[in-house]
Amino acid sequence: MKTKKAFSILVAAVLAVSSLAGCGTTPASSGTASGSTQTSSTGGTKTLNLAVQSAVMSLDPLIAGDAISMGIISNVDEGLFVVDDKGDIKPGLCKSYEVSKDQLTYTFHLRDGVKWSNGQAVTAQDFVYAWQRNATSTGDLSAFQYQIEMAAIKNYEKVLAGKLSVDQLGVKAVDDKTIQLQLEHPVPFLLNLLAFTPWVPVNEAFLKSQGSKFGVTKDNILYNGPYYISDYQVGGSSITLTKNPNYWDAANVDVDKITYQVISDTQQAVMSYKNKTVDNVELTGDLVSQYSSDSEFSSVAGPYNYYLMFNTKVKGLDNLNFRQAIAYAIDRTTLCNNVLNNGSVPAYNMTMKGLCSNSSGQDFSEASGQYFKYDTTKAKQLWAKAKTETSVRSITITYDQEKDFAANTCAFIKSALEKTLDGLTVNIEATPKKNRLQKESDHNYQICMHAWGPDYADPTAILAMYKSNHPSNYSQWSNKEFDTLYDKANSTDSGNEDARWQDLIQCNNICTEQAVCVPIFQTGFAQLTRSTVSGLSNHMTGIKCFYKFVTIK
Amino acid sequence: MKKYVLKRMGISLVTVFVILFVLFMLLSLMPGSPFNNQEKLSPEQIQQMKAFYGLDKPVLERFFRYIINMFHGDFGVSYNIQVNMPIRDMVTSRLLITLAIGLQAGVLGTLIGLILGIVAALYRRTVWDSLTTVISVLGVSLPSFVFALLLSYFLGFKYQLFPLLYNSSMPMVSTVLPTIALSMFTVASVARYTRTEMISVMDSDYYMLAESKGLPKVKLIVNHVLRNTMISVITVLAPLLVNLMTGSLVVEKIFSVPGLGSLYITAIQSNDYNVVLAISFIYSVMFIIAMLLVDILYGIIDPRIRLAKEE
Repeated sequence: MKTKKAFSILVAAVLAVSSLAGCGTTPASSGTASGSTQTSSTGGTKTLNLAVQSAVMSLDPLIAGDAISMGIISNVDEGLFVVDDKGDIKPGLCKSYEVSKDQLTYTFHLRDGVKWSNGQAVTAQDFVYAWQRNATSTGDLSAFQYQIEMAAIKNYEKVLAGKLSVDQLGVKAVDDKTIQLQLEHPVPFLLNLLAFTPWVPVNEAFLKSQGSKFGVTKDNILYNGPYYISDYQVGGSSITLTKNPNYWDAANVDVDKITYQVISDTQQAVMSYKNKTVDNVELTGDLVSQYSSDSEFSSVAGPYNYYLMFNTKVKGLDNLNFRQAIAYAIDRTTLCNNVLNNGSVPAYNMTMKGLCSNSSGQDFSEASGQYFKYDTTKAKQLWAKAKTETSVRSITITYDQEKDFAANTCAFIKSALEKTLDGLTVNIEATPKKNRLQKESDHNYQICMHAWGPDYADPTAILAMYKSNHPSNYSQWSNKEFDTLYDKANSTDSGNEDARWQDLIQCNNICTEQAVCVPIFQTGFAQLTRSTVSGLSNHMTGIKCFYKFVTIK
Repeated sequence: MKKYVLKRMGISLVTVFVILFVLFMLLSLMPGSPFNNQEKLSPEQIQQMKAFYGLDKPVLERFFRYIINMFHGDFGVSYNIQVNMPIRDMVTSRLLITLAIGLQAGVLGTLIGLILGIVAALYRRTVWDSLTTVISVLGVSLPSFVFALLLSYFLGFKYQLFPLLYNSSMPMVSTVLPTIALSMFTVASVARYTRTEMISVMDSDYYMLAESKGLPKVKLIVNHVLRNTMISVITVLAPLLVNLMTGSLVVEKIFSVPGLGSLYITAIQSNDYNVVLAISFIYSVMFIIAMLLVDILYGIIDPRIRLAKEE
């Protein structure tokens, strides 16, 4: 009897497992089908399937600090301007605008009939509230306050310092559809700035009704843009945006649905691309050279420059010859082609190529000086001088342990420096990124491998951190000439394009030549994109892509 | 038995408290702030944010406040992974997925492991035995991500029999490949232990006595061999199951499963203290419950153990 019972239990268990496997086999065909239902265009519904590496951090425009969250927010909540796939600024909710002669007053007129997803009208007051909220927020909402500063809104300094009430900030709603913005000095990149996430409007009443839950999930925000979030799975691991039929320009939005799937493993993402589960995938490491001849492969300059950032107050690194010797001893071309091999290109000044250009189309980085091209003779000469001026013969480079390529890069640099600079010992130290950042802000480091990417298309997005009083000036470098030129570019010369351009080029040249940081390489952005998809941009600054400009054949 | 269980539960509570305390202290010593965009924040802004979340208070005060809130089901909010999302909401949905995959892998691995182990022991020194040994060696020595990559390539990508990635619209099918990948280690371990234990039981005097009494083979195996074998199998099974249910970072990464394992690692790397604490708490509780269950199961399978403890 007992045997029978035991056997029946065993059989039941085996059946349970078979049924589990059965669950797999029956819909297996639908597993295959899942690939086909997610192809770009089926049954009249055009779907764009995207692979992203991490989940959404927040849907609050003042908290979202990652590209994915900011990209989603800016596509579901439109601001005054958007950037098309060619990088040109186009009107968003702004129907038209006027600029005063002195370039200090902007008047923006909103479109008619634009509504939030709760039916309320989007008003000028929603913009004013959002911008004032940014100016007065503290704690976790204050990360984008520097945007108010960059826009140089009238009285920003006193308002940010709490010396004036926010009503005194130079922004007001003239009526329901007119916003007036007054500036301290002309800001040539203002419209580009206004296309960024912290400038989208916020409905005050809704925000207040949500309290601390505002922006936490899809139900805690309102929508006014070309899309709304229709599906939001476990921790934002997969998100679906659906075309908003009430959007003012809905007739010109081609893609009906956009799905985001978090795929943290690049190899898996590529396989998903190959079996048509996703329509676009970013390539890293060896995958770049593996797919570089693919007809759907494309590569553009990436947004980050990697630097060796020196703590210029540390003994040895306070010596200019020491720093410049290091800068000349690194063969960036070999590093990019043989070690990184991922589309990265050598960097010879602080700003990255493609960041911005002047009205005659000249690229800022290319117009600036190109410093520290590989030259072992110069490196040795400078090192010989440095050796007479300092007794330091050992340095430590700290890098983020999360980045595989950083380990290879540092190993390459160590070998190059020790080979060229006779008697120098280079130690390399891997540490979690959070720890590296802490070391930088505590000035408790010698050399860090540091990446910096611009938030807006202007050289100040990079050069600001070399100002003496800038909170991110972790090098502790200070140069009066640099500070004067930088301030001039943002005050007396700000309305004169040529003068400002020259000021900032000089700033770039000074801080590069002084080897505050040694620019090493500019990242590349390589991707595979389905040939039926066009307009899927990857802007270097601000929002990577406004999907209303994407089309699917 | 009841008294014993109550005593064990009391000890478990103290253990969880100590674990949380040590973790809290260690986390407070971690360098770096838990906030996003740290490189763009001024020291004043970081200080403001710390004050906002109460992180500027003394560590002991924070710890006791955390424990009190925990009893009310409040594990705090996330500081950077999903800013201001209550940890309870954040962890629950992921825990369910991790538990489902872990449980499936545990059941599948145990059943197949048992069957392989029994077959190998009964047909000792035959091709079946050799086959089981090969599977066991492979299962134990090859990490689960190798199986995961193979399964993902052949069944997910090449033949497209199962979804390549976790798809929340068809959760059951999506878990098949991760389940198989995760179960391999359990299959191998259970098969190895079952075989070894069964062989040692079958070589014992009482087995030979029972056999010489003329008991039917099936009865002999089920009543005498399996029952004694299970004692040591259960010992290894409990931690194995807990390991499975805590989620595997690599398997979760390969199949893009939004589970606890990957969240835990992200939380540690980004200093999201509340997420680390909550998941550590869950892991500790799961481990303690598993060990408690093992002790109770011992008593059921082998009354001698229960009697000894009751004395």
